[in-house]
Amino acid sequence: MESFHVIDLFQGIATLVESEPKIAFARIFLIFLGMALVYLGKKEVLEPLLMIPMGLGMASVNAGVMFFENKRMATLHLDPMAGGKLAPPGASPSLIEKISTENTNDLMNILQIDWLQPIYSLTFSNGLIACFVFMGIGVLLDVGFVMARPFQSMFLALWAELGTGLTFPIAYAMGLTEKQSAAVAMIGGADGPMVLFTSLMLAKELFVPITVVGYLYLGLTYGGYPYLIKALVPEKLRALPMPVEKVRQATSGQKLFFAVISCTVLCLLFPVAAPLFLSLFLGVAVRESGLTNFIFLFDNVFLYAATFFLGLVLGILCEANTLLNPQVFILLVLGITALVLSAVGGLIGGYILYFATGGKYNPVIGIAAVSCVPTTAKVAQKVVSAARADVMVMPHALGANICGVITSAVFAAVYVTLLYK
Amino acid sequence: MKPKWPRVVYWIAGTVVALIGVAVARLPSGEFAESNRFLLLVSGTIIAFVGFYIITKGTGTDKDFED
Repeated sequence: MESFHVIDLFQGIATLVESEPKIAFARIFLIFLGMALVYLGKKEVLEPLLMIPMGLGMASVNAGVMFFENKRMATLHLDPMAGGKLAPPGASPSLIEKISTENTNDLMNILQIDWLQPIYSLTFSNGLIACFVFMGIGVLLDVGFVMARPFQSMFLALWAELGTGLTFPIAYAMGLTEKQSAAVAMIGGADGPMVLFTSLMLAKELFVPITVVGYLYLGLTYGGYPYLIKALVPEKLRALPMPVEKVRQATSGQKLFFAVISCTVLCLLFPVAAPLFLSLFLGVAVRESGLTNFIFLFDNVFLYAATFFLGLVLGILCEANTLLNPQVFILLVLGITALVLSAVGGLIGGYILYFATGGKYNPVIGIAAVSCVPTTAKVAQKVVSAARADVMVMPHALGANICGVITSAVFAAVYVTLLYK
Repeated sequence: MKPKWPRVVYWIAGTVVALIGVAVARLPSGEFAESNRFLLLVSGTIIAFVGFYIITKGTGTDKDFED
């Protein structure tokens, strides 16, 4: 009879003992980090809809490692490289793509074994989940806020892409390729689906760490941006009331017309990002057409289901092996740089409007142009209300916020159009 | 301030300007060097956004546009 070790009964622990020390420590760290994310989500310090499934997924995937044939260690959750062969070291991204489409029999086997593989292979790695999120966001957007103040909204949204623009050369100078630099720069757009889409198109080999870093930081915007605003905008200006203005209300027909023209023109300009534009404006069109059943479907089913699986799959992709990639540290630095630069850019735009209007524009509204819908608009209103309770900036903030989503999609499309080959 | 022209004028003019932006950005893109391509893409996008801006000027109810 072969010798029997009790520890073999508990393979999660046995794989820890058998792993290299750095992998074992990274797994333990990620298990505790996952638990911390669940706690911070519950306390609403971080976005709970994303962080609770993500944290639990992260803890589970790093705990549930087991032995397969030939002492190979893996989990039953999913295999991000399923259907692919191991690429030779230093292989170009195009070679990795070619290799990963060669082995469909293996992919079919894994689809029947790993429980989240169908979700990952059929919705994640082709960007469908980003489109579902965009459809859901589309029905939440009232483009009337943009149509009421188009110049201010577009101006602020452009400034709030400062991080998206400036992080690209910084990342390139730090040794990333052009495509990788563009993918990580999109974190400055503060729009999760856009980061996912761009990294899938331009830097598939780094898409897991870029997306994880992007979403982790997006969770932090709600907690971190108020401190940044307080540091850069004095209380007197934060409490500045917006003058009463007479705004022409757009009818639902006009909003629908605007959505149809915008979608068509943007798809003509940037065919590579047409799925994202279509998904976003489809949501707007459904909302403005009053198709209540579709509104319910997009808002309550697509958006929540996609957000849930996005969080869960991102957590499960946080395996120790993946995150021990030395480029992750660079991505962490670049991600926070991009988000801070975008926030500062938004506030610079706010200050320019403040001076251009002779001191009648609250500069805090600029932060809302960082397109994390609707988080940054809520942050702007919260900070302003804390300075003076009766000041309402929400309609202005929502205009900038919605325009920020469109501008981020345009920046993603420009990067993909120029660099995708 | 009351708009100068009927609503439909803004809609058509905005759409035409936005499509001119598309033409600027896309049509000659293959014939130009990489650096010019970038400039054309950005210029075309800006023109398209000017078109969107013009469309928003046609926003409002019939009452807003009456003399």
